[in-house]
Formats: sequence, C-alpha cells, structure tokens
Amino acid sequence: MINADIIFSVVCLAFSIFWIIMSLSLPRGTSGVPGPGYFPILLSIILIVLSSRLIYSGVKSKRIYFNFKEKNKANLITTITTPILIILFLIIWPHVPYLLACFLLLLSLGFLYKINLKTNIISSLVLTALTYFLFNNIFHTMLNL
Amino acid sequence: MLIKAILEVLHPNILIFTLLGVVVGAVIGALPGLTATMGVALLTPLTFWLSPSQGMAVLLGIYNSAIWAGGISAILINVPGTPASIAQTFDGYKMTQHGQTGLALGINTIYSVIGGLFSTLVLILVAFPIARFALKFGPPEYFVLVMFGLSMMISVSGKEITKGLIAGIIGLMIITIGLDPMFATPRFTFGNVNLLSGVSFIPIMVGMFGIGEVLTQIFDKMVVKKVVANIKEIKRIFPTFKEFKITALPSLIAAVISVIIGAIPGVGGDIAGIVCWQQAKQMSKHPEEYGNGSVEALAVTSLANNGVIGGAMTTMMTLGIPGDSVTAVLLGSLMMYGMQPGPLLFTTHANFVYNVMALMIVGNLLILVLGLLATRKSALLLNMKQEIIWIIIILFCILGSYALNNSLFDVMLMFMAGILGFIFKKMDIPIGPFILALVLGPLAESNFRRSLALSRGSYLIFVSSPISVILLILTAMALFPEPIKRLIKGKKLEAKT
Repeated sequence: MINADIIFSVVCLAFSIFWIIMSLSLPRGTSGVPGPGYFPILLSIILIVLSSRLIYSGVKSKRIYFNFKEKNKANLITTITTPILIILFLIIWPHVPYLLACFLLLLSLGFLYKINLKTNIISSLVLTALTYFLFNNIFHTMLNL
Repeated sequence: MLIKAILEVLHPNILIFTLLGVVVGAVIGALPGLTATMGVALLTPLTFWLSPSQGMAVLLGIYNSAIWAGGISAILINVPGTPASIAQTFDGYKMTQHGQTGLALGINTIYSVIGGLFSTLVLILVAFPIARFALKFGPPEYFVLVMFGLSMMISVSGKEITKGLIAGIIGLMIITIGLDPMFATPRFTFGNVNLLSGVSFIPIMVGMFGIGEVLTQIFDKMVVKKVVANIKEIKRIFPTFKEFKITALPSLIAAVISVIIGAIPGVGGDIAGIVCWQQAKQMSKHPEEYGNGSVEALAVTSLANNGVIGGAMTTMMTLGIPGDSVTAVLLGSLMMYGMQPGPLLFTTHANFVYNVMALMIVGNLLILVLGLLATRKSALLLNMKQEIIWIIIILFCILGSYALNNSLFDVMLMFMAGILGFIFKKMDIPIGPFILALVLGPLAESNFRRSLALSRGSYLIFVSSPISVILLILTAMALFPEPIKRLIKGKKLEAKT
C-alpha cells in the first residue's frame, strides 16, 4: 500500500530545499529591507518543518487515501485516461483546426465514459459547434492556433 | 446612491447578466457534485470581456442562486446540491416523503431569499463603517490580517491543521514566482517569459475546482441518485400565514447568526445551517419535529445558507479577506477586473460597491421569481447525465483558461492545477487555503517586507499596535486551539489551588 502522506511530504521537502537553493542566488537586502529571497526562504523553512511533521504523523497513522485494490479497475483506468486525453488534445490542437480537435476530444471522452454512441456523437457535435460560436464569435478567442 | 445603483443594475444591459448568472447558478447548485465555488471559478474567465458590474452580475447571480438551488436536490433526493445545503436534508427530504414536496421547495426559495436580502441589508449598513475603520491599517496590520484570514480558513476547512498549513504555504511559495514586488528581480522564472508576470491564479482556480473535482468524481464513481420525487405530486408551494408566524422568530435569530458566521473567514453556509438548525431546535416548542420534516427547521436552514453570503461579502469587500471559498474566488475575479478589495475600494470605486449591493438585492429577487415559477420543473434538472456534465466541465476548463490570454501556457497551468486539486482532494488537503494564499499572497509579501523595511528589520513592528496584537492572538487561537485550551485550563487549575 502507498503511504501518500509520506510521499507528499518528501516531495514538499524536496521542493522547499530546491526553493532555498534557488533563493540563495537572489540579491540580498540592504539595511533592514529584506531582499527578494527573504520571503521564499522563510516559507521554505516553514514548509520543511510542516513536511517533517506530516512524515511523522504519516508513519504513525498509515492512512490509505488511494486504495487501488478496493477500487473498481474501470474507475482507475477512466481517471488516468481522462488527463491523457486532455494532454493529447493539447498536443494536436495547435496542428489541426479547433473544430476537429475538440470533436475528437469530446467523442473520445464520451466513449471513455460509456455514453451511448448516438448521444455521444450528437452531444460532441453540438458542444463543439456551440463552444466555437461562443468563444470565436462572442469572446473573440483565437481558437484556431 | 443605493437607489441610483439599483436603477443602474435594473438596466437591461446588466439585468440580463444577472438573470444569466441566476439560471446558471440554479443548474450548478441543483446538480450534486457541482458547487458554487466551481461555478464562479469556471465562469470567471468568461466574464473577462464584460464590464466589472456586468461580470459581478453573472458571478453574484451564480453565487446566490447556486446556494439556494443546492436545497432542491437536498429536498428531492436527500443529496445536498452544494455543501451549504447539508442541513436542508434533515427536514427537506422528510417533507418530500410526507408528500409536501411543493411546500418544501417553496420554503427553500422564500426563506433563502429572505436570508439573502437580510444579509445584504447588513452588508449595506456595516460595510462603509468597517471600511473607514480599516483605512487606519498600516502594512503590519495588513500582513497580520492576511495571516488571520488564512489561519481561519485553515482551521475550519480540514481535519488536520498541518495539511491546511502546507496548502497555504505552497500557495504562498507559488506567488513568489515572477518579478519581485520591491526590486523587480526575476524569481524562479527559469528563463520562461510566461512566468515573468507571475503565476496567474485564475487558471489555477479553474483547474483545481473544475478538473480536480471531475477526476475525484470519476475516481470515486460518484453516481447521483435519479430523482424519486413525483413532480406531479407537487401541490401547495406557499406556506400559510400560520406557518409564516411560527417561523418568524427562529428565522430572525438564524438570520443574525448566519450573517455573523458568514463574516468569519473560512466558515461557510454548511456550518451556518447546522448551527442555526441546532439553535432553533433548542428554542422550539416542538423539538421532536426537527429531523422529521419540520417546516420551521427547513425554513431556518434555508435562510441560514443564503444568510452567510452578505457576511462573507462584507469581510471580502471591506478588508479583502474572504469569508468562504466562493468569496475567495470572487476576490480573485475582482482583482482580474483591476479592483483591489479592501477599504480603498470604498473610496476609489464607491459606485461599484453600491452596484454590488444592488446586484445582491436584484439577484435575490430574481431567485424568488425563478424559484416560485420553476418549482415544478426544478426536479427535471436532476435528470441530467453526470457523464455529460463532466465533459462540459472539462471543455469549459480548457477553453476558459485559454481564453484569458489566448495562451496554451495557461491551459497547461490549469491542467497541472487540476491534477494537484485531485491529489489534494483525495488526501484531505483543503484547497481553500491554497487558493486564498495565491490570491492574498502578493499582499502578504509586500506588506511583510514593507513592515520590516519600516522597522529596519525588527519583527517587533508586528506587535506594535493593539489591532495587530489582537489579530495575532486570534491567529494563534485558530491554528493551535488545543495547546491554548490546555494553557487556559492549567492557569485556572493553578488559580484554584
């Protein structure tokens, strides 16, 4: 089982140490006026203390937040596939017209969520057209990159 | 001034946006799993093209309406539409089971509007005096005030204070990305020009409350119960005069309590509803009816969740400290329009402040009309497919964050924030302090450093005024309630012996 508290705390610890190292290269303040690195260093130190405390409580309590064994495998696959589809959309969007990229994203999401094929095609078409009209014509957003 | 503002917001140019907000809010609120915070966050980027008054018309319409509509699903299917409607499930659903669906929905609408209007009245009466008082605040007081707001949100928004603190600190660290506010030195930009102006909080809010929520629902496979109430059974909607009379006193008390609760940073309608329900039960001549479909109990809880809005708006607008997560997002929206909530808003943009007050009044009146006219149709909202709602949210998250600057960088930011939001939700890490830190962080850092510059590096400046000392004590009490309780108990025992 994954102890998410510990993993999260270790990531926070690494993040704060990285932040301190980066902040040390920033110019120092003068005559009582704190420099640009002062506030980030202060926050990083607090985060180190808090992460250490969370590691301690994580070791003690061993709480399980992501219990993959109990979960329905299909839920897990859907949860992971959704962000993957969004990433794919962001990759293809600059290369194809918005209408096509959006329609493909919506269709694949609908397929993933097991929406009836006919409803899926109709809703994907309607949503694509609607958002194109709304953002392109009303909000003047440059949808075709 | 207020009458002029009311006439101004009644102009079709603004009224149409208030109506749009009320309708969108009703849909968001009635659907379990979609919250007012998510609605306001999702719609904020879309209001970027509107004037501040038009934008606030949409967002305030959503805020007021979503909180009211949360009661619809609480009454019909025993699932609160928003967290603020938890207490309405106690009696609302029982009334549905007793065949009083129409009356329950009518009470929800009428008393929510009364709560909203009462709290707006309080906002009108106290906002300007508080703002005048807050003008006396200097950099140390402001820094301590921001810390107090953050600590309150941390203390009430999660089971573990450590996690809330971590969320707040990460938020504060993220705002240090970009140009330093005092010396304009680039910090943590890694040569990326997109980061020079700092990390925009709007895409982060959209991602955390939108994508984060969708992923959580998919992971937990949240399936909403389909509506079981027979819409044809909806008969009487209006309470009788006798019922109005019975509920008058507990409602008045609930209104006062909820406004006070709303003004406390971090505390929202969920807590107000439960506190008012318990208070009314203790005072009631028929406490045994509470939890069994009591008209009085439903009236009190319906009033309480909308009653907090005026209180939350008061602290947000006068001090720049949001009362709950929705006002934290609204604070960000106001900053996007180029307005800095706080006492100066009342001197530099007094007209806008009056417009906000007028929008609250008009929004509530529209809810009353919509709620009473559409009661019989409201149950149909619950039949929307959850999967289609997920897809709509994902699409609006992408397009909303992109439309801000026509930038894919903002979409990436939104996406990463969505993943972080999912992890936060699953690990019981409250999102509220993180968002609040992002919004108030620049204010906190600049006032912190200005204070130290004024005192030539001495930290004693933060305890040099009574306001700072009081706020610091309250901050400590919010973050470390147990040690302070033990300390007080120990002192009492010492005094006895």
